[in-house]
Amino acid sequence: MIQQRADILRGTLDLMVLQTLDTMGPLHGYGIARRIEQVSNNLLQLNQGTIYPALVRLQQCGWISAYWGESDNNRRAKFYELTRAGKKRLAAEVGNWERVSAVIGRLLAGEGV
Amino acid sequence: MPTLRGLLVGIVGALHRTRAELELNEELETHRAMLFNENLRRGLAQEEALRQANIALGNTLSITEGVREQAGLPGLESLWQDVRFGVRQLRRAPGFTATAVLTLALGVGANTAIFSAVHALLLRALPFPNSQNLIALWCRQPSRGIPRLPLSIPDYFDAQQQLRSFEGIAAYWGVEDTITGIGEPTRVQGITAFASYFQVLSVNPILGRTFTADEQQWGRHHVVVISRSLWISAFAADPAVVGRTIQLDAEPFTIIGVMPDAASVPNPRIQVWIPASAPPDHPPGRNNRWMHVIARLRPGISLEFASAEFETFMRTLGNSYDEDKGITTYIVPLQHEITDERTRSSLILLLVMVGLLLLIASANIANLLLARGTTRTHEIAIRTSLGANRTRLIRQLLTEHMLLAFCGGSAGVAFAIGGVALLRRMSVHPVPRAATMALDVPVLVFAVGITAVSGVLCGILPALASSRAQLHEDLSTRTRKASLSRARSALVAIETAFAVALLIGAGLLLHSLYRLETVNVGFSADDVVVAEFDLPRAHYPENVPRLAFVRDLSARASQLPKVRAVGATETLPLYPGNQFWTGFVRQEQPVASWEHVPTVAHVHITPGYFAAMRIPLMAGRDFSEQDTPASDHVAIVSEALRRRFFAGEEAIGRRIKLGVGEGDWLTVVGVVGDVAYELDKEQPPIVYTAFVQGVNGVPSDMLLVVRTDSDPHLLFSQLRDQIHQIDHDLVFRELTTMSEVLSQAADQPRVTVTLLSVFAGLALLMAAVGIYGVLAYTVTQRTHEIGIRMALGALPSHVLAMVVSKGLRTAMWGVAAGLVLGSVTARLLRTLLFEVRPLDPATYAMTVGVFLAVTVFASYLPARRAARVAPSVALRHE
Repeated sequence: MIQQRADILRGTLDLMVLQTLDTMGPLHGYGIARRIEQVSNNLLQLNQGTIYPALVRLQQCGWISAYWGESDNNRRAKFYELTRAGKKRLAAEVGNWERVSAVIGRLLAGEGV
Repeated sequence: MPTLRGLLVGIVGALHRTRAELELNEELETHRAMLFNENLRRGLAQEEALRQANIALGNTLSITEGVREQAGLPGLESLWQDVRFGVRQLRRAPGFTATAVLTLALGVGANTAIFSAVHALLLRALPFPNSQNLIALWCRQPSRGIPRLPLSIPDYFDAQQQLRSFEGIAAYWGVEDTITGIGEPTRVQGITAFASYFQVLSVNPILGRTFTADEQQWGRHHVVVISRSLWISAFAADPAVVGRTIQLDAEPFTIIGVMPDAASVPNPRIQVWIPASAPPDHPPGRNNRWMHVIARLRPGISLEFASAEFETFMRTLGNSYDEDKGITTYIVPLQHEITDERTRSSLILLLVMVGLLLLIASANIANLLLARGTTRTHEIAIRTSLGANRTRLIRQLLTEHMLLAFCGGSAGVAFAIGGVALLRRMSVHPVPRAATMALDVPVLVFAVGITAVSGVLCGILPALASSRAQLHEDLSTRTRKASLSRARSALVAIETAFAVALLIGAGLLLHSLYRLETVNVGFSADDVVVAEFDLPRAHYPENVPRLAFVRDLSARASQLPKVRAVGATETLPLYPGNQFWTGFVRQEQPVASWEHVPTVAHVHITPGYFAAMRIPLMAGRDFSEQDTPASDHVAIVSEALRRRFFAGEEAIGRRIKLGVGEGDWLTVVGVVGDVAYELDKEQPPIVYTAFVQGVNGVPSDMLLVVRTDSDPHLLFSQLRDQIHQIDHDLVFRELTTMSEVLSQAADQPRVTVTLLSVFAGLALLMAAVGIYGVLAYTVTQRTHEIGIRMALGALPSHVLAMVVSKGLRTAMWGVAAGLVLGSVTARLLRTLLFEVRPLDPATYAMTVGVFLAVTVFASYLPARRAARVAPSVALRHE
């Protein structure tokens, strides 16, 4: 059961990372974490380290790719970038999310099905 | 072992960790620094900025852990974990592990050894370029009942000129010569071949050259190509060997080349090649057929096309030449030619049977694993309740079982090393290419393959069954146990079926071998020495000196102490080598054409031969000293010949002739008993003639048979002395006893039967262990119930009968299925059976009997234990 809960969270985090990279372009881990925090207006208390396993996983799926580059303040940093497959995946995930949230929205609004 | 494992873990970990984790650490440090910088910018003090950065980033150790879980090849890592766990589990049950490993090792070892033979003899291509295009050409003469006939020299020359399907055609025949001039006289096997021989095979000398067409002329043929092994053994690999001269059968031959080992085909013992040339005194008639013909197909020409062209060619010849009338043809791939049909079917049979053995072994191990699974129910139930999912459990159990299989497989390969050595020893003489049997790459791949297959076969069912254990079920296990026990009984029935099939196969062949060995051969083999010699043409060019030699040697041999009778002959019953077939004509029934002349065997003998062999004289007289070249030419015929050609008539006094056309008319003066020339063939009609009268020429290759009153081996050295005294350069080609010849005639079936009996014995043992295992388990499970029964008044004998009958019931299904399976596999060995039908009822009945006896025995041990159960103990059980 624990695993399943983690799965939902994981899926959400994946979606957030993919969306972030799509709107922001190549970013390093810190940038991704900051962006997610900012967008959520710090509502989502993200333990920033947890994005790293997610990044590895997304790389394994071939949805993002990574390269070493230079950060704004001249530090060596690893940058992540959405791949073509990642773009497709994002589109599918977004569609899926919208359908689910629409259903949940209707449920919560008390509409009969 | 633990340190080795530790090292392995370290290496595997190090390999995939270092780089990735160093990178991750750097990435996290960057992240921390960025957070820290921003906190500073927000105006926090150094210390507080670092603290907040650390909080925001979280525990780097657990992040690393999380990434490792993602990145660290999870499959491999958990596999490694499973393997380690499996090793621990297997170690914890050494008895079980040893039994399973040994069982599988026997199965895999036997299969690997047999496969190495199949690979070496049947599958591996001949060592020549594009060897699949190499074929052998044969004739037959159905009108005379001759199934296999070589070609004659003129036919061969015509074929070479006219056939278009082939790149090249070559003819050869086998010879045996004595080499002198390089140390002790030694016998070597060789090939006499036309110049095209090496081109057809596409094999080049490693030194020197091969024959030219010019060297096919009689008189210019004194050149020889030697094998690499002879080059090494006799000339110490001297690079200047080309040009040297050796004596072959007392004639000088100049060495012109050295051939690689691969060229020694079909027989690895071939050491010399001599150009073929027809001696002027031996005109190459179309009826003298001794050319073995091989050819290389042109690319793109099918076997069928070539076959049709050859057939048409022969029919055309038949229209032109009387001798070739009614001759038909066939073509076989050279590969099939080299391994004969009998060896071929024996090997295939053995492979099938040994495959059954492996299935039995797998079933047995599956059974053991199922039994073990039930003892692990508790462990697995707890693991399930702690959150292990079923796939994971199945994977883990399967890993454990595969581990077991591979331990068995490795031990099996070790067994196979011994097995291959044993097989090589068993097949010393008649099987070409047996020496190439080895545990080479394809054979090892096969071993790994069958190990994996048997691992899955024996592992999957127990893994599925065991992984189903649940804690709540553990409390009410009755139904589960019942279904498991049904599965185990089914497995035992299956292995019983396979074992019965194997037993039937072995039984049929054993029965057949018994028939073969008790065939009435028509002579008495005890206390007879057989000495073969070959008189070199250079010193014994024609009949007179040959006859003088035979007479001299016979006279000397009969002077030796304890010698009863001495005779000489051209061929012996059951002796490997040529049989001389010829046409048979009665004076009263003249035949004009070869096409319809019946075929009989023709053997030259001396007067003492029948006495030495104890072949009974049925009518008339034996040859005697009164039969001379000048007197009327006479013949003695065998009983089979008399029955066939003189049925209901008096044979004595009739006039007969061997062959059509010119030739002596012979008067039949005696009839003798039949002898077997091959154990599994009908006794042939034979015409015996006297050496001294030299009908159709006196042969140079002869055998002396000497009957003695004592151990025949004692005569060997005396006979060697005698031949040495007559001719210094002559050695016996073979010196053996008739009993040995008789025993060798059944060698090949004996090898097959021995192997098959061993396999059948193992199968029987495994099946017995299987039955024992299931019953022993049942008895343990039912101790409580048995105790109640006994408390209620059941006698120990009732309990005994109950358990034994359960064993018999289990076996019965297997036996029934096995009889069906056995009758199917029996078809496979039909060609190997002699005077035994594939559905021989005695063999089947015996198999069932043996099996039931073994079942009763295997059931008896657990049954006795059950019968001894004390009710008070049993009731407290559980």
